[in-house]
Amino acid sequence: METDDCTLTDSEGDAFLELVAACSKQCASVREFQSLVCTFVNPLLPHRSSIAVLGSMSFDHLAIHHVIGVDCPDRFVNTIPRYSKLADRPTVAKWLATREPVVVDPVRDKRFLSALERREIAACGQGRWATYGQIDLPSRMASYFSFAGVHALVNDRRAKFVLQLMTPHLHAALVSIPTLGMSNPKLARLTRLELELLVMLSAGRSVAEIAAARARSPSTIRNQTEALCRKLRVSTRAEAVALLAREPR
Amino acid sequence: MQNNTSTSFRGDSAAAFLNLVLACARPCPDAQAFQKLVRTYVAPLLPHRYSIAVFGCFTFDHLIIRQMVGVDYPQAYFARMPMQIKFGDRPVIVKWLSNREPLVIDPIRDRSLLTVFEAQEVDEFGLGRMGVHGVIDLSRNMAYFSFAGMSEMVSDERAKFILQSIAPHLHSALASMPTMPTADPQEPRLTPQERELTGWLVMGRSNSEIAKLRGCSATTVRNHLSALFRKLQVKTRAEAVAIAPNHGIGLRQPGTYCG
Repeated sequence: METDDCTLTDSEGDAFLELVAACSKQCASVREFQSLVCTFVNPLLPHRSSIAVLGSMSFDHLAIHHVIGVDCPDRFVNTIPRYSKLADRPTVAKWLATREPVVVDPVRDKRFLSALERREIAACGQGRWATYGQIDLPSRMASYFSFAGVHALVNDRRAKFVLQLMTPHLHAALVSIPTLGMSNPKLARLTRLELELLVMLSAGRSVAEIAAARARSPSTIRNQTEALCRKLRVSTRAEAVALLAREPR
Repeated sequence: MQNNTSTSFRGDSAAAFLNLVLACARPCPDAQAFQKLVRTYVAPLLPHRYSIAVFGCFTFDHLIIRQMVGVDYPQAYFARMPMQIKFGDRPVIVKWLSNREPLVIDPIRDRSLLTVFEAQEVDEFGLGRMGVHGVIDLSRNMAYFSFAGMSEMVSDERAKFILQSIAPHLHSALASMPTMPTADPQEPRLTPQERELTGWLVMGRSNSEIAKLRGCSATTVRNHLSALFRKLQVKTRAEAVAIAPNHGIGLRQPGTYCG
């Protein structure tokens, strides 16, 4: 049975290709990402709940910038510490060291887990956890996915294999959420087009360059920029850019 | 389930795609391994002559290339490639950055889209029909893939679909290369004072507000700012704010989403 763990049957192949197609469309909101995970991950990796994390590591600490819980009680997601010592997160440390998926069983791996992890696992109910992530190109930040209550029929090898297939796509979908972590309500109200304009301004693109990229006239872009500033209630372009720069990510 | 055959994987192409996915899931030890991966697994899906993978970051008007991995590319092309590219010279990249969707460029049909520089390049190196796509990272760095000399058998729609499906995997393989540089040694190091000043810019403070906060005159602030802009090689305040994250300034407050 060993080789079967690391192959996809025709119907599983279809399920994976559906996930790929769903993730290649940009995610408009956190809610859309959550429903994507519910709909497309479960056929491949049956599980109870999951969390997706964007974070970074500095020396021996992990900082969490965003957490998205899927079918996870709010109460639990809110208790996840935003900063923790790497020593308190042996599961994450193992992933960082091996860059391979990690599956933990709260009973079997009791000694391996830290007190913090044991508490978290207990809060999420029974069963194994399967975790994996994707580190970005300059190794500054990473996304990390943790699936709780993995179905008993999925063995460790299989769970790791499926995570390796899915993670690059989940990462791409997560990163594409434009309003991810926008704490400023003014920004959260912007349309996709307005947000793209602001992102281009933030990248220091000139009106002429934006006009060329969008196939519009410079005056259209200038009008859109003015409307954007009015909507954000700022008087200059630099202030608008500053609003976005102050946001996490 | 998608019914359109050009935007789905069926039979041989599904098997070829899964092979690529599995190959990309293994860590890539070096550039040679990445080249081999592209030759072996991308070619069956997207027949092409040669390709290039670029890793870099973009500032206000430049793309700064940190690393390039060419696969069967003419050496002369590399020799000429600058490590800093002005956006004005590369409308294809600008177009990709603005909508982040795969692009297919036909050198004859899309001549008007290319700059003189690009058109010359296409002719000289016989690049032919090109497909490009990339992935922007959490740190706003990007991996950008360009496949030249794509077979005419692959329709535009099909090529875009394939690029969209394979880019996350190629990106993940590229990110697993231990030789990827972690920081740009050419980026100037800021003093604590300069970091603080940049922080105020990111907060959207005006010169007079910064002057009050620092207990000095607005003229001093203006002088400090022009020195800072020179050091950062930027011309405007907005540009300085835009590149502040490259120096680790003006980021991150933890946020939470539940559901």
